[in-house]
Amino acid sequence: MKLDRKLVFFLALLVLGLMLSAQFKSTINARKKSSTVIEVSRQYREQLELERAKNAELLKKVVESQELLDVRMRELAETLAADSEYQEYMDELMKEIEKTRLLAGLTDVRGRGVIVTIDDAPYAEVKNIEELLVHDSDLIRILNELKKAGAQAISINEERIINTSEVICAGPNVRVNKNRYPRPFVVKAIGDPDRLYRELSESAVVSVLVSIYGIRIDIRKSDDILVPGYRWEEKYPLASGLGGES
Amino acid sequence: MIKLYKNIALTLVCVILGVMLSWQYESVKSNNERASLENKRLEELKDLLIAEKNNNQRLRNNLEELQKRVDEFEEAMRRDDRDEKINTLTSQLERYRLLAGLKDVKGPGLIITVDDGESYVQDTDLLTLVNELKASEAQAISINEERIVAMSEIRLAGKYIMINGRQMLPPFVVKAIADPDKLENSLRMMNGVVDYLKGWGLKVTIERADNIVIQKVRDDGTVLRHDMLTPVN
Repeated sequence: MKLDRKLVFFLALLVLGLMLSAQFKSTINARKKSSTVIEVSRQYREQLELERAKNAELLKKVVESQELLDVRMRELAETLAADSEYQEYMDELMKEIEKTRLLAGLTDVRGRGVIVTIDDAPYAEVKNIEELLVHDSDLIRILNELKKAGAQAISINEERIINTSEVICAGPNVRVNKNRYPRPFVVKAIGDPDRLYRELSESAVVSVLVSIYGIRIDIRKSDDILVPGYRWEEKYPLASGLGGES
Repeated sequence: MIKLYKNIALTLVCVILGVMLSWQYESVKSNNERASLENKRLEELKDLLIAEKNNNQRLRNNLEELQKRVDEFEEAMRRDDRDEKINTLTSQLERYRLLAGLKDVKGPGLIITVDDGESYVQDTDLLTLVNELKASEAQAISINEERIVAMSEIRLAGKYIMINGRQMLPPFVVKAIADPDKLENSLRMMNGVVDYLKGWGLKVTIERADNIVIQKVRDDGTVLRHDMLTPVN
């Protein structure tokens, strides 16, 4: 009888001891693991800072080179125009170059239009958090409404929309011209302010987003909007122009 | 009496054991949860880093390209050859025309046909497809021979769809110049755009071609408008 009781206590204490040490181990492991995670994430953060600094520096150089190219182009044109025989031709050529750059979306442009700010719905109890967020499909449709209303130049978060610009979700951000931007999304559109305002605010896409999903959309007319030019001019390796044939 | 004490003692030990067991379980579980959350954050950070590195590589390529062009201009300036000077300027104009969509272009890519099936093709279907093509780095896109440019609208008007102000009916033949493998993979991805369109009851076919010709944008002043734009220098 006494032996039995002792045995029970012995076993119980043994289990307790084992558990205590197991718990201790697990906690230590978790600490260790999380400290390596912290270390790695610190390294990532540092690298990210470094890359971002490089990015700013490179961007500055790209802008400078673009400006330099403009200067060289003008110099060359002026040299040619100095010959009176060529002056008229050069004027035409330079006008054509300026117009084409404008149409390609490579120039900063000013004008009247609307500024549209789009943000997630305020936090609410919903089954699916996705319902509260702004999606790429919403932005594409808003852009399409502005284009339907005759917009002539559009940017999202200062990223100019050109022929090849995508607007696509990348995690919590939206990717435009291969750059990621977080919410809120600021869309600037140059065109007739009244028409842009009216057609966008009366569109089905905006009324559904606002009244059903609670997405915050603010549309404001403005008499002076600056839409920046595209900064990522690139080669077209696949689509080769047909050159003289066109 | 002794038996009662013994029972109480045993009960107490069992209760303590039970509490500890559940505590331990909880603690291990929350440790794991925390670790997985941290790993997720780490993954996001890694994605950001990769994106930023790619971005910088693009900028370097751009810079190189721009510098090459500056060199061309400087070279043309130095040499006493009027024709070369003019050629340098006109070739620059051609580059801008290419970017503006003002040139016919040809290259490898895909021809995607979207047609009415159990339901009709809507403007949003084509918007989604075009956006996906752009996201997969298509360099030129047309729908029923209308070149898609920055300000091209896609408007549903009754049974028609209007693009660049021109009415069209299905089927919609969408041409895209891009890396065909990459483009087809991203279109056919699970829950990708092909699944999306088929999910709406539309018919979608994809055909590869080595030499797709995409026409330039109509330049009659109706598609490319700039009368409200003031260039800033």
